[in-house]
Amino acid sequence: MKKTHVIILILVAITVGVIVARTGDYTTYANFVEAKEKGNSVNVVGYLVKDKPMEYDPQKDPNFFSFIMTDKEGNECKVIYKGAKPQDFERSEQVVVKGKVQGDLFACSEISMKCPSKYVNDEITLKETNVTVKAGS
Amino acid sequence: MVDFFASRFGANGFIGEKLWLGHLGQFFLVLSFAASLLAFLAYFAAEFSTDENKEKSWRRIARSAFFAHGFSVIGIFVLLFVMILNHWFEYHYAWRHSSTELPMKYIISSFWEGQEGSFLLWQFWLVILGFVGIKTMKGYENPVMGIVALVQFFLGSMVLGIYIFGFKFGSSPFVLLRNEMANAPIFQKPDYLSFIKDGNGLNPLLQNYWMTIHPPVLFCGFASVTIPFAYAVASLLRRDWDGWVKPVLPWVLFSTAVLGTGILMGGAWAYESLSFGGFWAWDPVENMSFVPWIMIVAGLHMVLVYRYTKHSLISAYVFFLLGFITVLYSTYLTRSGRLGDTSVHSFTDDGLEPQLLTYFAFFIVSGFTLLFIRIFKKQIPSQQKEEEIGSREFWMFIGTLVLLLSAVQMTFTTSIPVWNLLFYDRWKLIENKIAPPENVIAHYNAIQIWLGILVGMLTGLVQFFSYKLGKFPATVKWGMYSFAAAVLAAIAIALGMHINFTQQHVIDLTSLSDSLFLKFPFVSTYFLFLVASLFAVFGNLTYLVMVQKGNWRLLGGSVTHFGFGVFLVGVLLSQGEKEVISLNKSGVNFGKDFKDSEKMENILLLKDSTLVMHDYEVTYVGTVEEKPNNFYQVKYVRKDSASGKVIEEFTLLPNAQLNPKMGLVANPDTKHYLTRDVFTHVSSVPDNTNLKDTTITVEAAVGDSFFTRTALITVEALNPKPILPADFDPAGKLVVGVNLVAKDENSTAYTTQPVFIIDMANGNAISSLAGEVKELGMEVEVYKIDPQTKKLTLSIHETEKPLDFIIMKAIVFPYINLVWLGGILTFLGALLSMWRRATENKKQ
Repeated sequence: MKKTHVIILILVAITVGVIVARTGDYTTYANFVEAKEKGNSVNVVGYLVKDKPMEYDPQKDPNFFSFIMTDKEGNECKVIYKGAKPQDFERSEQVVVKGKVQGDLFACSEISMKCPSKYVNDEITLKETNVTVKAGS
Repeated sequence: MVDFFASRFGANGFIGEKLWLGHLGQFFLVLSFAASLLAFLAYFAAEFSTDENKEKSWRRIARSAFFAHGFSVIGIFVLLFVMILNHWFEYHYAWRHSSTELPMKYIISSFWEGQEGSFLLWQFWLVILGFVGIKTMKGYENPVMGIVALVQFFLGSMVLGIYIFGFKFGSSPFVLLRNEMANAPIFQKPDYLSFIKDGNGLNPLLQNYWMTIHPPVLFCGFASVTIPFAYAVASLLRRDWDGWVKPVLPWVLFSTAVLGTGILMGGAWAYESLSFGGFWAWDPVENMSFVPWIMIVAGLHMVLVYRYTKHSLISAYVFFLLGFITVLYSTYLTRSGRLGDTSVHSFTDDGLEPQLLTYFAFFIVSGFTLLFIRIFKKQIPSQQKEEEIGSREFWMFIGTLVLLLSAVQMTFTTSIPVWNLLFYDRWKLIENKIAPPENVIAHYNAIQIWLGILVGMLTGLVQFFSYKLGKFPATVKWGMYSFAAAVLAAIAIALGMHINFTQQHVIDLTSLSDSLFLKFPFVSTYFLFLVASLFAVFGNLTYLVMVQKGNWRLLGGSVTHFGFGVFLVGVLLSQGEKEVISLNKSGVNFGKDFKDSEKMENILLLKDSTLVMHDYEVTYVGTVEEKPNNFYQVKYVRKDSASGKVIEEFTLLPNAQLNPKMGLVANPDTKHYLTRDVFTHVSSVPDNTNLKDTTITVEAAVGDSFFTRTALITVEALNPKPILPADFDPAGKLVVGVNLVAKDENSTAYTTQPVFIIDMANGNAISSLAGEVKELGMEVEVYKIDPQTKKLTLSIHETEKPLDFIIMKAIVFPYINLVWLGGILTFLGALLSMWRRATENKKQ
């Protein structure tokens, strides 16, 4: 066996080993109930409960934001996020939070949201008639 | 001509449509598609014809077909520009990606905002490269250009937009708006165009000068990767193991330079205009543009090894195949919509997935089948003698394996959506969908820093070895001196910048402190990386001066590797030593799971208030509005700590566009110094769009208290002798002042005294003088005083005060200019090498 082959084999072994070991970093998608059972970091997909209060008082603490969210199965949970409230959060259609459950709270390290009127949506605003035409394309 | 087309094609009941453009465009699309197929077939007919005359005539046909294809692509290009520049919104592409108020430089960007435009850009570059190829490829023209034409055929199918057997092939940029949205009632009107005043506009994140130049360069890089792939396949087809090596070299070097520059320009765009603070975020789209570059660089080194030693030929083939295939894979990932959940900048699904998969599968299967046939039939020559441990080829081989490892790891994690598709959606092997790591940056850094250390060390070392030499050559002593210098310099830098030698430095590694792969005895990985990248700098500089003695024809390699070393140093110092200076220390603590140091990076700055950040006194001065942008003036003042004298003063203008469609779109602003940058970004601003005025009417007697929106008001007393304004004539009037105290939420009390007036001389007409509390935006009037019940009727009008503050983040990036400098040097070095190889080929 050539020594380059030996080196290739060793490196393949290391690659596989490293990749397998590092899959431990991966998180999963879950709902709030599963998140509570697991206790580790997960991604929860759900919706902002718009009629319940959001807490963000930048003059007191610009890095604290909390809101109530339901996951896709309808479980409700209060989410706290140490960071600035994303602009237009109220308008979000869907929210994905990354983090873990602590007690009754979901401590979130990252929020991403989908807005209904992102650029990809085709929406024609007619200036004269002031009618908005939405078309499914 | 135009009128002819208008009268010819416009007679369908709709007014003002310029249908000729779409018809002409569609004609070119079909022509370009058909001609690329013909060029492919004719080139391969030429390749396989045994008769020289037949070969010549087939090649003539192939060239004509390729020219026809090329001019069609350029025609499509021009038509699409005409459509966008003239704002012909009857076309969906123009309407969706541009608007009338866009300045010229961004109108160009709208061209490639959509899928169709970016595919066309890709085709365009391949046409240009193909024209150069026809001129220069000589003996390799037939198979290489044949493969280029085949790639164009696949790309052309993505923009064709025609239905064959009920299946839609591609999506055309010449689709009419009224066809794309056939259900909208507006298109019932024949004059619908007069209602469509403006287009959808360009995504504000793309309205940046980098977005005008980064995509063309990147797509030129992607397109150029096709050529080394085509050479590799052509050589495998011909079983010509040596003839392709010299001609492929300039092309590979071109790819390395251009693709690398394209990627780095994307980084510059992210750094200049995105909010995350950095030029690289390990975003899937970034990773998947980086992987093909790694493959091409690995292939370049292997083909050089083959040229000088006859080793590593199979590796060279593998890497060139992988280079092109990873471009296709990245195209599949970004354009099928599969990355939608994990990446910020992927395209949406336009139903191209089956086509993209076919494209990808075709080349991966045919390319590797061919290679495996040649390997299993033992047709590829291989050296019986092994590489010597002390030889250059041995260490270059190790280096490319490290590069491969890096690419494999990057691809594996980036492919999470694909794993979900296979293991969750299709085979149901896993219970929950997997998601990217919680801290993506830490995940990649933890592994890639080790590969970076190895690559840095090898970049510094390998030049000192010689090809085919078992023992270390005399030049190795210069390598050792360089290494010693690198260690000393690293120690000096670490001392100077207070870098920790022994502990694991936190490069966003917060969640990974328990990791097995980060521990190294005695010194930190961070310090090792510093040594390795400095060794790459010093090693190549020494080699250039002491061994090559400045022979400028040979400089390319050394300059490239030197530049790469500078780049690595810049990456390490700017990212590892970056410092968020807008740390907020006043926040509320919410348990240990929130890493406070990491998260409290935003700070609130009221208008005209000053906060000390690092060396600076930072003041939010005000706003400059330039529709649709708001520039927030943030003034930085640095004073001498002893004398208090102002050393420097500058104002940054970070921009926040309150876009009606996308919410807040923030553009940072950066002060550039030679040795560092001060980056400032507005993360949030108060929403003053829905300020409400409220008016309430209250009945109250003296001594009563009641709440308004902002205050608690108490009626203290009635005052028959109120203070009256000087111009008020009290003659014949009965005046009563009402003493009020308003307490706000902080219990600060304000007094005011509205006055009730009965004009007895004027038939007892009732009026009042309003009392004001400016601080609360409040105005109080007295409508009535009931003499029986002693009750007053008060009207309280409150205006909501607009808030004026910004929530901002400021980061200092030390030595980030080394990143750009290193990138430019790498680019220039690769071009120099390319020029050298190309002129060598020409002479022969």
